[in-house]
Amino acid sequence: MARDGATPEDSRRGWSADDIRKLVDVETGTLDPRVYCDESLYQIELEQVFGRSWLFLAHRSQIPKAGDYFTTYMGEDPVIVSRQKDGSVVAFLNQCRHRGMRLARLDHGNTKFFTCSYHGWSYDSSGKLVNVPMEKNGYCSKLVKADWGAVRVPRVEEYKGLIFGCWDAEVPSLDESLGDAKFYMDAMFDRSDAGTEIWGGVHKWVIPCNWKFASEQFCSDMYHAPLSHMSAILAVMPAGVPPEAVQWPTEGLQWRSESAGHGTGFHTADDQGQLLAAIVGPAVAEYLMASRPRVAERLGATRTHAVNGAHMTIFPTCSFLPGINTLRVWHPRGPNEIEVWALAVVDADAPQAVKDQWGQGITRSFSPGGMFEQDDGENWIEVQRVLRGTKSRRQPFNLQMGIGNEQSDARFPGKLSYVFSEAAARGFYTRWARMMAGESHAELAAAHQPEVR
Amino acid sequence: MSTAITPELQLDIERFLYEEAALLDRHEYRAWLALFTPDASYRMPVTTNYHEQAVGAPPPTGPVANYFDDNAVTLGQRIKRLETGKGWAEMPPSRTRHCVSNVYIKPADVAGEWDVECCFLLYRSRLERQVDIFVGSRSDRLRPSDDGSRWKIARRDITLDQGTLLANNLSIFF
Repeated sequence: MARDGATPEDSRRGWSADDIRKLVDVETGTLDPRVYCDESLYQIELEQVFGRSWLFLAHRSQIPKAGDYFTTYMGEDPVIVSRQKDGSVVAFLNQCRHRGMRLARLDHGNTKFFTCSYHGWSYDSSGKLVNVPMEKNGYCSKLVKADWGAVRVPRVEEYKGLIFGCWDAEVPSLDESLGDAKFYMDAMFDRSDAGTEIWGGVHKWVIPCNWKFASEQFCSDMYHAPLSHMSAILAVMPAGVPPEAVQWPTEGLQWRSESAGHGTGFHTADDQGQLLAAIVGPAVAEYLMASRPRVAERLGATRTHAVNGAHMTIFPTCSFLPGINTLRVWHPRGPNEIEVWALAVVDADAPQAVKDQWGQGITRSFSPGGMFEQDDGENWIEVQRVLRGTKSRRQPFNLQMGIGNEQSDARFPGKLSYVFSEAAARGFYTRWARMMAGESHAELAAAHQPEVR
Repeated sequence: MSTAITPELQLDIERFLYEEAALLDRHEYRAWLALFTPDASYRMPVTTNYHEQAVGAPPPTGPVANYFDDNAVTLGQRIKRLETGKGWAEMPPSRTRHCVSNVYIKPADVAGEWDVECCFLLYRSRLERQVDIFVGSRSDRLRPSDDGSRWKIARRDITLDQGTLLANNLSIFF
């Protein structure tokens, strides 16, 4: 594991730190598309980005009871996320230490022991090796079981029900790593003391595209929505609304993290929940509108009325849409493929009928069969296919929208831009390049230089 | 009303399913939607891997996520989306072939209605070289109709035999 800039050159597979930094040029607003398709860069990513970032593991409500577990991935590494007797959460590599077999092969469950189906090594819910067949006769009682526990994820922390893990013990706390992002996340995850829960199960599907297309879009790209999703908007509008009357809103803001790569964008004009009613259902929209006074008491008027239709990414791969309430992780599967794992988030204290309509509305809008989601994949796949060409992968991508137009707004913390901007994308890729170049966590905490003017 | 599964009934329902499949493969979605009752449901639950799948164990309880959870109105929205010409995931449309087999008819709990199980193999070819193959079963409730289609679909429950979906989307109908 590379830390403190001490990455040996050979682990960069021919890419020097300088070469990597040059892939992202925020001054000219250009991006080298090899970031999406180069196999060597991908292998560096798994170590430098996925090995050192806080990665979303599970929602608290997916493992409520002692012994509950959920199996997921950190990058390409399978992990088990497990609720302990004392209520804490532990995560460890989903791999037997004997011959490397996957320990838990189910999506989720409740168990006291994870027993490997190969030779029967058995681990408790914290990953401690507790039983080995033939320990006396085969190993002559010489096996030191304490040395052969499952590999623990050293850092597991939670923010408002979202459980994250990091392979790097030296990473700053999750709270610190999120920073101002928390202000924006709370509009979805902190609407009441009861918090949120997951409705139903997990949508999992494969898209042949690089993970950064998806993650950057949720971080920074309101720009695509009016065109990519126009068919779905027209389809869900109430009968009698003429197509020319359907106008995408133009007021709004985008926020980017100063150094952490997170970003969000939203419309500030209040549409009284009309679009939400069309997308996720009238009962959900009515519930959200009725809850505004109590939410405003908690979060203030700004986040209750002036954050609408938001998109957000926590770097690198955790994305969500506050209001619609889909939450997903873009698990990388090589430079050219992702697995999307998407969850439906609902207010834990909402009436059951509202929760059910919310889950149903998310299914119909943002899922593999969702009327909005389908068209996103179409774009990412085609870009990825085009990048097979040697000419096409040498043309820099344009990342210039909003350069020089950052602003401040007394209502919102941090660096802000107009809602149609690529400032958050520039922040996202700069964070990526800095991690890829091997900057230490201390170095990464400093604001991006040069700042986007 | 008779609950006998006569050869004539078997033939009639199979022919109905073939005609329905042909409408989908010809992208005649409005005609296809007209085969559903106004109160129809159209669902495809998510597939999960869980312990209780041991042979003979009961299915899990609690809310289940679906890939599709539609009614006649939302199916109509999906078709409207395709008709805008801006639904990029189906513009140009996928080439599909809906193959239906193993048609097994049982009397429903309402006189004159039938529960019809079948297997499907759905082939999709898209743009230059994308190919997806979906295999599963459908459980339909068929209700007699006197408007020319002979039958209406009052309920369609789709089981897709795949864990993680290998297709980039489900922009087609099952």
